[in-house]
Amino acid sequence: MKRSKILNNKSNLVYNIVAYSSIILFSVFCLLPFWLMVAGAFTDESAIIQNGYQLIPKKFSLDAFDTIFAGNRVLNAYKVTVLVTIMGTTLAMILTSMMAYGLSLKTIKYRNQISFYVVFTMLFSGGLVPWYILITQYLKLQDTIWVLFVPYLINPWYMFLLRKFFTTIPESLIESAKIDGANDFYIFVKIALPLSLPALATIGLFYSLFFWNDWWLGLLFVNDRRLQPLQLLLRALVSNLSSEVQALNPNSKQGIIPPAYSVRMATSIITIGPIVLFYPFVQKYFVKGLTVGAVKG
Amino acid sequence: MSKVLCETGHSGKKVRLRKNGILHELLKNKTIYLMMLPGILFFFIFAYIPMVGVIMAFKDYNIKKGIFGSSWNGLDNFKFFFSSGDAFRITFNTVYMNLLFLIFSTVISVALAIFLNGVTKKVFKKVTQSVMFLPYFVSWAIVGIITQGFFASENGAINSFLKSINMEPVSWNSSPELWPFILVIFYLWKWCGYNVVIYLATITGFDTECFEAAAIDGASKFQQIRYITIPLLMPTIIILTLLQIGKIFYGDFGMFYSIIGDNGILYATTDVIDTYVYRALRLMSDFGMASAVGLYQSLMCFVMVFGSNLLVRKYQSDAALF
Amino acid sequence: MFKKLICLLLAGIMFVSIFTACGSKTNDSTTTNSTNESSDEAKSGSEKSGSEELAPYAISAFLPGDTPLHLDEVLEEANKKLKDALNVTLSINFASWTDFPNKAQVMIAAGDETDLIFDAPWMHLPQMISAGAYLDLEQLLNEHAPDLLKAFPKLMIDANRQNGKIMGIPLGDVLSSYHGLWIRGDLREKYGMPPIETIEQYEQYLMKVKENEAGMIPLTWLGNYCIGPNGFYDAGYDVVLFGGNNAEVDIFATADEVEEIVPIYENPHVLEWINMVRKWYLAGLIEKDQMTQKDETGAFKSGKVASIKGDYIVGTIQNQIESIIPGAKVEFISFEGKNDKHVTNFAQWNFICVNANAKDPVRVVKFLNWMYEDQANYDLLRYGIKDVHWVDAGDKMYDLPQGIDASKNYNFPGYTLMWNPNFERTLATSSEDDKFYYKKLRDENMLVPSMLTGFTPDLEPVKNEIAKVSAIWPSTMLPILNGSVDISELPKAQKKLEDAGYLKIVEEAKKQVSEFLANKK
Repeated sequence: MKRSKILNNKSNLVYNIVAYSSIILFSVFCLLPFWLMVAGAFTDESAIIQNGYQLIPKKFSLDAFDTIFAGNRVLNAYKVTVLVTIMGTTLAMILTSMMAYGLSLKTIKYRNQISFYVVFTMLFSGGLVPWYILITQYLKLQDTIWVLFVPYLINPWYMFLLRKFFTTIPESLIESAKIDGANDFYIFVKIALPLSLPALATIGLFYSLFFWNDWWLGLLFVNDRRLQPLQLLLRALVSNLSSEVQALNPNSKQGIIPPAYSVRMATSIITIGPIVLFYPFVQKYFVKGLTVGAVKG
Repeated sequence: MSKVLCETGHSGKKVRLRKNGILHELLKNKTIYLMMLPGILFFFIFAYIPMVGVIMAFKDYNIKKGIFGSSWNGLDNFKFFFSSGDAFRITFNTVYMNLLFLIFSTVISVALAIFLNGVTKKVFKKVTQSVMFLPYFVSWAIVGIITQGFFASENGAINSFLKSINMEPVSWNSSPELWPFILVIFYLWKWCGYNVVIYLATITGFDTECFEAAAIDGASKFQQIRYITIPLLMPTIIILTLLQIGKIFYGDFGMFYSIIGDNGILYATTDVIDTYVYRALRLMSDFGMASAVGLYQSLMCFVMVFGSNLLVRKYQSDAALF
Repeated sequence: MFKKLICLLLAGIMFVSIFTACGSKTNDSTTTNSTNESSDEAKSGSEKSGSEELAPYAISAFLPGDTPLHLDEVLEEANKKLKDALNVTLSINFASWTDFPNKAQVMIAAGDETDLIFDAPWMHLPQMISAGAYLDLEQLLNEHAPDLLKAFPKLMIDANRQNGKIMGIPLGDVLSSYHGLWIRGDLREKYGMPPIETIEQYEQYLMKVKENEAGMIPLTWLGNYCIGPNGFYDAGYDVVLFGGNNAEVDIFATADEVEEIVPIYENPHVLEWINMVRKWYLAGLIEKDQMTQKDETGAFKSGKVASIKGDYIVGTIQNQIESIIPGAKVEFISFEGKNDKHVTNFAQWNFICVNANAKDPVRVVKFLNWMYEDQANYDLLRYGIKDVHWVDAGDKMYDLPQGIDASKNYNFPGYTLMWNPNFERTLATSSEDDKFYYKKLRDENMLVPSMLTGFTPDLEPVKNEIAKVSAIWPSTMLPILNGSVDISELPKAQKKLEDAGYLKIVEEAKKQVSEFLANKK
């Protein structure tokens, strides 16, 4: 008995060492790329060309940020992206939650058919060209702020995640409210939504991340420079600085070549920044929302 | 949580003594249907109307004639794709890469979740969990930039390091055999934190009595994990795995395209269906073939999603997607 | 239940398809109508006499690259002029190089009406032309663009016809490209060598580097291609690579003859090169891992390599290398006599095309003409507002105004919209060598048209063979061409290429060239 306890203590010590060291190692592994980004962004371009990217900058420089913020394009793109993220997330949340709520109710006879109607769209799509024709020629949405979020307003995955959460609302609660004379919309707003805050926060974060990180809609449907979202602008900045493109670009013979390597890192920083800062505010809901939606434990 | 489950789980089977008419149902729940209407319309407009374009897969697409005016060419687009030898390669790559992702990320996330669960210091737990979640926010475009930062042959951080300790630098960009693993590493980096959150929450929900009893009986921590935690966690693991398998024919385009880009040397191991379709369009301007490959992928996905959903439903009916 | 649903869905889809089919048809007919009407109007308008009577029209262009800084200021200025001249306004949209080809394709496939679109033979010009995406400009140019036709040497237009038609305006700041190498002038001087003019001298330079600079690689180039036709075996010839880079048949032409077309492994020029490059490789003059080289310029800039393939314009690379290696000097060398006439086919790489769906092609062509009506028009779009973004330095040169940071200045990618050898200016601070080559390559008298001028390979008949050969080329022929594998392996490579159908490509090349030459007479 005693011996096994000592043995156990020893093995528990081993366990603790393994557990803590793997957690710490993995955390460092997660942070390393962020560190490389910061270090690269603040390193002088010639130092990168000579020594490559290094985790400790040898020659400090702010040139990269200078290049990015030349002109007011980045600031303007920031505005567009913030607007799109706010409008898109709000509208998406409204549409998604209304649909998810309806599909979660067992009293709705056609919920399975409608679910299938949605699932089908996750599997089959008409492809890029018909979609493009629809949006530009029939809906005439190109070069409007709407085109940057309307085509993505309901994400089926998130919708089903939310539906899952709604199904955990006790049916008795809804029924008793009905007996009290509340209509369905009232129940949805006053009972279902408040009970689902964790899931709403989670999906809200997903949507905002989605709109924040999107450049595809901007690329396809926006020609007006004032409507360019941040990610598209930065994508352009980065891709046009790549060495293959420089080689292709006869202009670089006469013009100047901006710092390419450090700019890449600097652009990364300014795009990730805000969304990372946003995370702590929803973190407390996050774990709960994610878990219930994904798998009911 | 499990209480909630019990209450909702079996109440849907009330016998309704009403007429079966569509109109009747619509009228009865008109508020709910009205609430769903915007969503239904959304999918109709943005998903179903463009689906007409699927016919491009069977046409010799001509820009001037448009989708409807182009002439039919039967299954030629499919024939070209399957006879070029690419079909097998990219299908294999897609499935193989997704399996690698699935296996590695499940093992590592489960391990980390179990380890984190044993951590008693709250601050440490919170900080490390947040740090692990951080990469989830980073878009693939930026992951691509970071990849180059580490692996570029000339000035990547790894080669710079190797040179500084007088070792031979590795020419990453011309070694296709290395990239599946590099991709796995970045996949882990981006997704593990997310999976850890799910598994950890499941573990925290377990009854602590079992563990206490086991500890009194003299079971070591390793034994507790082996005989209690993992068996209890199994249902969650299986469900998550099945859901992933449903998506096995989707190569994450953002990931592969941002990291691999147009580096043809690496296609041998890293070209997946989605990137192939993209290039078919871009390099060959072959709209018909791109459509055909897309349709092929959709069909494979359809089978997989339905199959896995069927299994999920058998296993744990309310975790099923539909 | 599902069956019913699927039936319903299918019915829905059919309904939709009928609906959209009708929709698109009616839409198509209206657009074609309006196109006809508007171009008729425009025609009648221009016939009547004045630009004043033209209805306002917005011209849009879609180009690759990054939006130039200050573009809006410049466009505002240009639009004032354009309004007076043609009653048009110009807007230009850019997409990054990575995204441009794809977006351009989707736009064209979807029937977008953007007037001017950049394209190039290395992008998807041939495919787009055969899909009917662009207008044939022959007649439009003859009727409405006299200044443009004056600005472009006839040879440049004619040499860049696609299947005999003018499918785009060829854009180039010089009339011909020019191949050669970059070396480190400071090292050459250190070894007390005269300027390099022959391959023998160049070999000596490489040897000296090998002897004197520990850790420095004498010569390297990108892994996926052969540096041979870069002055080594093509000096004095116009070499057309039929079949593209990885399935090539090298066709050697001079001003008065086209040499017999043979497979690459029988070509005397190429065989001579293979022997030389193998010798160099064994002597350690070439990077051991040359086949995996991805960034030759980076390696050159950081001083790891003493010579790479180089552009005839050294330009800004000089400043960059100096900021990293003080005292370093980049020199362009070529094995053709510097003052000899250069044999060329006048092919250009970049084109601006008129969309077949453009609403008013006449006005679009008139706009193109406007750019060359007056040097001031060209300068405005190309260099920006005079004395704000650039100053006239006389003698067809320009300079930056004092105190202007080049990285924050207006810098339009001219090669995507207007480049022209007669209107393009040279940067006043360019080196003497750079100025010399600009001048030489813009001077028709210094250039000799090769027999193959105007010849555009049509690869469609051998598409499959090219795909198959390209797949094995990098592992069979390329290592031999680059010296990393011995010439004794050549028969094996030859066998593999022939199995893949390489001889068919050779036959096609012969056929097309002989047809071309027959038509020429």
